[in-house]
Amino acid sequence: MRKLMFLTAMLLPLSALADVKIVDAWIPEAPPNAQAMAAFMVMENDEDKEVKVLSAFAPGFNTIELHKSIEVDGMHKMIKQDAFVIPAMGSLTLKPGSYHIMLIGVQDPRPKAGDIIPVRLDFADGKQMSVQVPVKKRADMMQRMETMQKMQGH
Amino acid sequence: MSESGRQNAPVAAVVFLVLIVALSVAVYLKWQRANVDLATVVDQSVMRVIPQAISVPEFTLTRMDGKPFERKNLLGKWTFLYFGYTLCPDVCPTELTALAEVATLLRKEGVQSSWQQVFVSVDPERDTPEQLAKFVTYFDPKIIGATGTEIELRLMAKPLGVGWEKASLPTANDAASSSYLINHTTSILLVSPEGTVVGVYPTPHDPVAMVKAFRTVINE
Repeated sequence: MRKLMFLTAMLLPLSALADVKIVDAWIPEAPPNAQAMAAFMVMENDEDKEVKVLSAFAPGFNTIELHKSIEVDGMHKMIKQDAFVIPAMGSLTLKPGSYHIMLIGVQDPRPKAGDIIPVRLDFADGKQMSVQVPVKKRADMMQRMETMQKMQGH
Repeated sequence: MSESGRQNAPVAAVVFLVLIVALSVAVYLKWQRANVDLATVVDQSVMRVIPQAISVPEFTLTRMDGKPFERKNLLGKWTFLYFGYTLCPDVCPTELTALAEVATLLRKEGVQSSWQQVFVSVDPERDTPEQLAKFVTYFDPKIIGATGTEIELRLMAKPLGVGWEKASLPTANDAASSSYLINHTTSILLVSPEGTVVGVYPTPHDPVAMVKAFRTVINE
């Protein structure tokens, strides 16, 4: 079933590409029984006008929403976003503790590290884009991010 | 012999008093220095040292293996204490991944002081012992999962500055009552072998920095 959905997503009109480049996309593998997962990525915009993502879709989940995690007085909250705005000649980073595509209601078979999930992004101008997002172990990615942060710090 | 002893008695008393005072001053200074030092030597962005350690109140929770988990189970070892819930989509998995990495590093570095990691679920409604066990062992086999009644949890957490509140999934189609999120405190608390919270690790949690701060606190 997942394979079939995967193929369907592959057949999306990729020609209608938005002027956005997606890099470093990943979905952390979820612990057993998790009710939701999240997709992270960096959205780069080379155009001189801002680009808006209004919604997203991925097979194998009941509901997909655009979210942002925030912290108020040390308490974590998730706020639903109407759109992700990628500034002109800029980028928007989706990462743990910040913006993310929330994949709610995980269906069986549950995604495992090594799987690829096609995530479709719907832009405000009507264009769509399909991103092949790998599921990865959270620990592996976190170590990588720390290393990157340290390298940037020096 | 006894005569000279009697003559020397007042001198001995004075010497004794002076010694007592000197010892008290020394102990006080050492205690004060230990407290002052901690806040100055530990990177406060990694771990906020609490000036006056908060004693964890008496509590009774139930571990995922059914055994009770009480305040006395905190005594005699250092505890990394985190409050969350297993259906937490992103934050708790991130924090538990960090905790598991801290555990790996502490084992690798052969830290002598004994320590434990405790995940307290604030969602007793959905977090059965089986669910708790599945969740925590996904990250590390040694993390202890525990939960209790809402009242018991609040009594334990409130003095520690830990709170939470239910939040609905905004537009979830499966708007069943069992489908909700919990906004909650994301800090990891460091509890001393005396059962007092001495430090708070705020987010984001960098395991390497956390271990460094911990080793400074335990002076090892």
